[in-house]
Amino acid sequence: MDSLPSSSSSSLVSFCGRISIIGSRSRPFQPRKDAFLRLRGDVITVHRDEECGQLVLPPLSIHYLILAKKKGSLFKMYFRADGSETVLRFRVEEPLVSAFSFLLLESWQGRRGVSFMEDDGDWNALARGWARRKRENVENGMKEEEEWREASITLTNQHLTILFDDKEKEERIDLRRVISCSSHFDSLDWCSSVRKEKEKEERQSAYSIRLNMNDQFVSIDSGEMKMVSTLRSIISQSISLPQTSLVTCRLTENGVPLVIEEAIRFLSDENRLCTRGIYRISAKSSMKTRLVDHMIHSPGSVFTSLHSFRSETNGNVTNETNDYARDEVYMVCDGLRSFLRRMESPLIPEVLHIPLFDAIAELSPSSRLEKVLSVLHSRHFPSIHLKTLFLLLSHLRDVAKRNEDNGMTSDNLSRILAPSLFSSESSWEVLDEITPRVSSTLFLIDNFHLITS
Amino acid sequence: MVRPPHQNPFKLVVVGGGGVGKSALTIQFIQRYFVSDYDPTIEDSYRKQCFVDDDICQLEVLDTAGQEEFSTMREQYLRSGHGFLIVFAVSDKNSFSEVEQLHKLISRVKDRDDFPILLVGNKADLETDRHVLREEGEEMARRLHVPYVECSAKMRMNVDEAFHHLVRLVRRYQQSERQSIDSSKEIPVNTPMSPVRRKKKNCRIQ
Repeated sequence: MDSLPSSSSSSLVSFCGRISIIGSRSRPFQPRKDAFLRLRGDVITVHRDEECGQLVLPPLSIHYLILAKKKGSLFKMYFRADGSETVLRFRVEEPLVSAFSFLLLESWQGRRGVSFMEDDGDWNALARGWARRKRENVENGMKEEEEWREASITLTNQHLTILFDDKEKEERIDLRRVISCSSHFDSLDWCSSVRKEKEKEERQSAYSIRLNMNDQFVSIDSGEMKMVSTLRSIISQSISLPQTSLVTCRLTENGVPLVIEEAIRFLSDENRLCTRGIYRISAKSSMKTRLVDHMIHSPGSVFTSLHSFRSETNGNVTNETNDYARDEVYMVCDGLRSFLRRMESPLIPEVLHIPLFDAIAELSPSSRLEKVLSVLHSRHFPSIHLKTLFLLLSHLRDVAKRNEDNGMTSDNLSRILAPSLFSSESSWEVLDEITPRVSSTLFLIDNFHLITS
Repeated sequence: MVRPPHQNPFKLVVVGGGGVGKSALTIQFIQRYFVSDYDPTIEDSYRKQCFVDDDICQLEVLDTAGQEEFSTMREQYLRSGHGFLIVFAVSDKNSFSEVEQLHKLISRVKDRDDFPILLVGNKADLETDRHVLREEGEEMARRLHVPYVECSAKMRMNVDEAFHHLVRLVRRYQQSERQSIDSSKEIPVNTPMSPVRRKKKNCRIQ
């Protein structure tokens, strides 16, 4: 680590600021409360004073950085070269934190032509490891498995970015798409490059992470337990937050909340769509409450264990199985409606309610449509909300098409669904407040084809 | 007791789960026909004048929404209602399981557990699709101390009876309330309570 990569000498200093070293493990080291850190190219040096005179410890190259963690103004960095490890734990002065973390990230990945995202400055961890992706296509049964490749991994609050060493392009995973994060996978699946290091250890499972997404897995493997456990604890924390708003929900590859897409997929079976009184007839409230609770707290496993929410149902055990199916339909519809109403902000954002009511009240059909479209495509309409609304509307159209069987015309559906689309904190006590919501919902269902064309 | 001819109407409220037939029941009673369309109600109110036990009465029947979404509108009609029909469908066990909750809600808002309430098992014509036995309905009614009626809005079976029964309950309740007010007025006269104390009491009330 004593010899610096040649590129650094020609680079400009990108950062220089006061830090306080909290701890460090390295070869010759003198602990210091007050020091200056300089980032030049991809080399970090720590000096006694502002003049960048005497080094506190030998220069550290980001090239050898295997893990960096950031929590507030506290940084912890692990460097490894030629089998020896240097750990540096320090606090950066508050006003300089975001500048330093941004510049450090730039050194870490910027040179490789990575595109920056807005949330990048707020990274939580940088790590070196091995990664690969595995896709499973449910429809055609095709499995696509990539080889293990070494990569630089950046973890922010919203994204996990994997930059493979042999590839210019990065793989960016929206953490909301990760349904669960498991630690153990089959030793046959291990990355061969780290197998030796792992076999020496006892807790081998702790060296791997598998991120489960709807349509694929991403596995990360490393010989460093601290790297894996750091990533895992940050990811687990972020994905175990309860789903209280649509924009923080677990997402599918279509960019809509997983629980909503799964509920709609469940209901889209022909028999279920034809269920008499779908969306109108209530489920048993205790079952619905449990379902909604699961939708909020463990979105990944709701619809695989649906039968467990059913307790007492219509009909006794010997009765026809049709009734069980019917009850599940009512329960999922009821659950979906109340899940939408439980979100922090309504599916159709509150600021757009009045503009939408005004648009619907337009007399001429063409200007009505035009105004409705401008409301839907307003910048106040978050894309997750809009995608979810469109998915729901197309589903409701499918339900309404079968009104001869299920009795639910678009008119009927709009009365029941309006409160879920336009839920609001202030409760409605008068009919006048409900009417424009119902007529807007009806317009959206009936004109869905025009809205999306 | 002789009632004045122009009394305030009795406000009867029809509550119960979604799709149990509250509107069908109400419209069958008011307009004497069975609505075959399947439109969910948000809130509708009807007026009717009828004879119950040879006494004429003005009725205002409020037909409500069964869905939880509209429960914020409940407070208002729970307060103003003079009598309640709690309706479930005998073909829908889930609607039966909501009965107790609704009863509790009314008792809480009214702060009484003997308020005029009638439990109604609708769709009794669907004998083959029945999921709530008559005995279960009766058992529930006993537990809640309310009368139980099974009816069919479609067949116009027991519809008038149910509403009339509720009118009788409301009359009886109001009468007993009036009596207890009357008798409480009389108490001070008959009891050796000092006028000073009575005055104090009045002051506090005002």
